[in-house]
Amino acid sequence: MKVVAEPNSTALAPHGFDFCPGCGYGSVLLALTDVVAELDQKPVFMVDIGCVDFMTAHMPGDVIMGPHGRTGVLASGYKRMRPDHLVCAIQGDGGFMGLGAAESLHTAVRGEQITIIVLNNGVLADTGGQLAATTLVGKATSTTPQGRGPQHGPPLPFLEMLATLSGVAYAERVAIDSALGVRRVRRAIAKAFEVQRSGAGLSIVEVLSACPTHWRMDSVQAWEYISESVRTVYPTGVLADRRDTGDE
Amino acid sequence: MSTATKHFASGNEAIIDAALAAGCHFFAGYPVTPATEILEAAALKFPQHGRVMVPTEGEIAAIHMVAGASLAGFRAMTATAPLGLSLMSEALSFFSGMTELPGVVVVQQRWGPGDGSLGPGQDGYNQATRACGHGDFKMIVLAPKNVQELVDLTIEAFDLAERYGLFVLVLGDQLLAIASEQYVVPDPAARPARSIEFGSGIGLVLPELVAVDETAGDFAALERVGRRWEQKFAAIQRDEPRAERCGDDGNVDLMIVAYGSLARIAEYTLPQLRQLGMRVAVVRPITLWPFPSDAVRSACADAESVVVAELSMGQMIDDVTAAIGRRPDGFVNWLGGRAPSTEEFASKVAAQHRELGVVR
Repeated sequence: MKVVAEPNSTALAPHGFDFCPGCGYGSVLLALTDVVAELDQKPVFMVDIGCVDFMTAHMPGDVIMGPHGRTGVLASGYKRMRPDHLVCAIQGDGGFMGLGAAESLHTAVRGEQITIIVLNNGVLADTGGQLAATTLVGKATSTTPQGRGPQHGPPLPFLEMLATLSGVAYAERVAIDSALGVRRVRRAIAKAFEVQRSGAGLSIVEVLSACPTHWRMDSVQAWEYISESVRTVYPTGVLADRRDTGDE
Repeated sequence: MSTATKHFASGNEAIIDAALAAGCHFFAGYPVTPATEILEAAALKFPQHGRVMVPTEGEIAAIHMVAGASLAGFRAMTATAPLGLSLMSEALSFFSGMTELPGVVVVQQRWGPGDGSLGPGQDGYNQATRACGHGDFKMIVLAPKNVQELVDLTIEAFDLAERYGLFVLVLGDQLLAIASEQYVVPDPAARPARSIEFGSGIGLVLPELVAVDETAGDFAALERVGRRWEQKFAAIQRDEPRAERCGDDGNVDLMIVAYGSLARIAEYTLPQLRQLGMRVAVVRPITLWPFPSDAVRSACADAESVVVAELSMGQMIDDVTAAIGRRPDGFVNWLGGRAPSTEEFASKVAAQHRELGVVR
């Protein structure tokens, strides 16, 4: 078997990982750590509540935990006063698109000069696998045991909505459903920081990430579910790139 | 040479002059009566002084941005009414209670639950002093009675916030918000810049949070944090309570306990009540948390009767009860966003006086 990535041991110390087997969040963390290692300036991190907060201990830079869904505005306040710092908010889909949707939306409207990494696993995972804004139709969760139905509305295409806003300088959706996907995550995060440095506006990277525990699948099935189902509802790719053209 | 400046404007406008003098560099907020003019004054004056003002989509975003600016090492504030404070509560629990960031929130009270009234109220007392928001924490609450004190206490709020690592609430009301008075803004003192820690490689803010081995049931690290907070709040309770007595010549039958605008009305009433032959004085808590229990107790000790006055159904009265060790003898209040004239105040207190049969 070919080794595609060596685990970054400094990212693991001094605490052990709290992620479930097969969770994609660890891969995002390693990708982020790799990107930061190549930067000449360490970003500061604002980490949301949720399974993302298991990343807090491992962040490659100074980090504070913020209330659920509002790390984007917390990061914005910081950045307004420290425009020379690289500022990164890490949120789950529940916080970014659910509870904190209003704040996320207006962070995009204002074109705050920060980077937001959104980890989308289609479920409120930290609390035990409940319906999220991103849960696919038909998917059973602990609060939709019969599956997401018409009464719950369809999954929210939040990044597509934000991508229409001139304040969003860069928006890309990537998926961790292959080793290549991990590399794409790394590339997208690097690009997002580059955009932040250019002062073009808000940069967002949404990562489709597996949650085998709450999807009730094994890791291989979870990757297949992303490839075959999640990506049809949440297509990967660059949704907005206004680095050169400015306001479209 | 002093560069203190004289102004004449409303309380809401004065707050921003005070904030600028205090070295506040960041303001974020959302309009709500009766605090809206604070936001508007900030929008006008902050950019003129090279400071940052962000009109946000709501109170939730505002308080988080304030926390972010504070995390960046700058003095930061917002202003709102009790209903906006409700929305800010979660963030205050996180940033004042947990991560101990300094910050200032001016809260201009209007009466009522829900949308309530647009007139003055003092029913935000419990919300402010019991630490709105979840969990074990307290915030210092300062209650000015006039515009000058609003200026002075707003400036002091920033100092207290930094000294203790918490948010300080300046609790005013609608009367204080719109009253136009002369005030002096003291010298913008040369304040030492806060050492900027975050972003310089400190790692985690509150590392104890992730040091807890929950699976092993080991919460000792967090309990140590809790004990440190407990000591901090005990120190504040020891060192910061403040109250003022008015009209106490050592010969008092009836002591009125009131704060803020209503205390000022009470003080104006004293000559009228004296003329009626009543020996009345006012004790006015200036810090609502920590409540000045000792000062209130000693002020009430020699009075035959104690009457609490509030623009609420009775919230501060619980703290007075705890302070003096018994339920106060009388209670006068006004609801609906209505504050009494001095005549009305005097007649209600006089009625209580008769009812209580206060005689010496």
